[in-house]
Amino acid sequence: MKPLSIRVLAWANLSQKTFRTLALAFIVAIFSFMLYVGSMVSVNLNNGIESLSARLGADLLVVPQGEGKKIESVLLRANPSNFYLPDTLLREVRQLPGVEKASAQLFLASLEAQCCTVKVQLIGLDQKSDFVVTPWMRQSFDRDLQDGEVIVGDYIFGAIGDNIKFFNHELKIVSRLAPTGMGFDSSVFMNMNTLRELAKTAMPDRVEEINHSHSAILVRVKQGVDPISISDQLLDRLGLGADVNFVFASNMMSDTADKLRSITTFLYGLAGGLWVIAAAIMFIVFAFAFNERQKEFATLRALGASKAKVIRLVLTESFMTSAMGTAVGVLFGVLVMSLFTVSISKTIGLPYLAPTVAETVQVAVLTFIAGLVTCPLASIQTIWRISRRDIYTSLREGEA
Amino acid sequence: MRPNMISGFLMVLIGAAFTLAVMFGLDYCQTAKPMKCFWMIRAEVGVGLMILLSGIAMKFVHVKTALGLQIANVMMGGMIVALATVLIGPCIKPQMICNHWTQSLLIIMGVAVMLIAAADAWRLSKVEE
Repeated sequence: MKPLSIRVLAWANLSQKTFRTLALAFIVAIFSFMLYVGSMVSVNLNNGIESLSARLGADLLVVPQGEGKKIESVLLRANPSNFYLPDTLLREVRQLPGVEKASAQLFLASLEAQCCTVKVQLIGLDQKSDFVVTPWMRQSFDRDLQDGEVIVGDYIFGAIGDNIKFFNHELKIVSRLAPTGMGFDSSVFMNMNTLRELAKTAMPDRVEEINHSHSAILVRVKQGVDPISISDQLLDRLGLGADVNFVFASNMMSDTADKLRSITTFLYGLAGGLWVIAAAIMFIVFAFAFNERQKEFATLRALGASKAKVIRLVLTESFMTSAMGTAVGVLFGVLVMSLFTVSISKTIGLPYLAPTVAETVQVAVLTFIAGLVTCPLASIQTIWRISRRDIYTSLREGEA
Repeated sequence: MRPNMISGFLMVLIGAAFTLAVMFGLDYCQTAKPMKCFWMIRAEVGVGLMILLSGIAMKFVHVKTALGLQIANVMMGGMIVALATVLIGPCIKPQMICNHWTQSLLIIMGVAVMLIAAADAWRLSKVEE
């Protein structure tokens, strides 16, 4: 037979009231789950924004009139699009004083065949002038892409060396990018020639137009130059019929940061509200339980247990309940966050980058600590009442 | 109410909710030639019905037999996870709805079934007949 330690006694008490124990653990589990998920979503969004700011090396993007939102979708949310502007514009942009670098990209959205394939963004790069994608692409692939070769984003299925088929063209995967948390994760990069070959099959009626078009011009301005002055100069040069939109990287970053702030505030507010509710419910339950268990505590005291031992018993019970609930809540949180990464990033529509193992462990540990203290904090009043009551009054209370 | 009646009612509810959710709520690739995810969904419906039937059976048996059935339901939860991952699994591309949504939901539901059944088995194990 096991010796009657505080732990054994606390576990026996919890086992006798299985329904109450499970219900309390369930409340702690919901709070821990919300806190973990809220924290992880915030961490992932922060990582996404850091990745965006590190990878978006352009200060200004020039796109066709009315396509400003679409380029943001391509960059942030992986919503594939097709839009084109004349390739002569790149020359005009490069001639503007204040422009340090300018490079063009050409887009083509793949077909979406009912339910079983997904649209991906095909991006043609001019690797000689590209200063946005190529520098970090070089980390995984150290030469220019040849015709028929592609580099795929993290979400694209296929191993290096495999062929991937778009518009009846077999293309060879030569490298895979590290996760970016941006639309690039669902993109396939190739050189301009390869993309124009695909366009012949994809849009045979627009081949001529695409051969002399780009989708976006990415501009880096010289130090100290305001990107707005570049857009003004270009409009002055081209006149009102320019039919172009300007997307400023600084605006995109601040918009994204604002959205991130609201989502983070909401998630932490929800977790905080749930913690208050959980603590309040625990407080009430423990207060009622104390009334029920006064005689039990007094008997323990009469049998020789000190006040400190009875208090330790109550604390151990509440720690055990908290630990059960927190473990389940954090387990579910980890499962949800690892399984629903793609769905969450699609729903939120902001740069969203999965955390490192260290970040995951850190958030899990902090959540565990926050969950663990919930029940003991709620039992403080019970402990205070135990410390004040004497054995005789407790045993005789309720007798006529 | 007898303790195993509560367990029976709980598992009938879980089994029915799981089966209906899988049959009508979860997306899979509806093509002329059934794909992997179609068979995964079929198998999961079978497991859901087994949970439902075990719930019905629990109402008519002794508490300790109900405990045995509840332990079997813990394994059924494991089976839900296994069918959605190693035994059949969804279609292969990460962005397909059956891959990033249906499979994830099935794993979460499987783990939930395991935990609920385990918690109830613990409750039943404490009941004196």
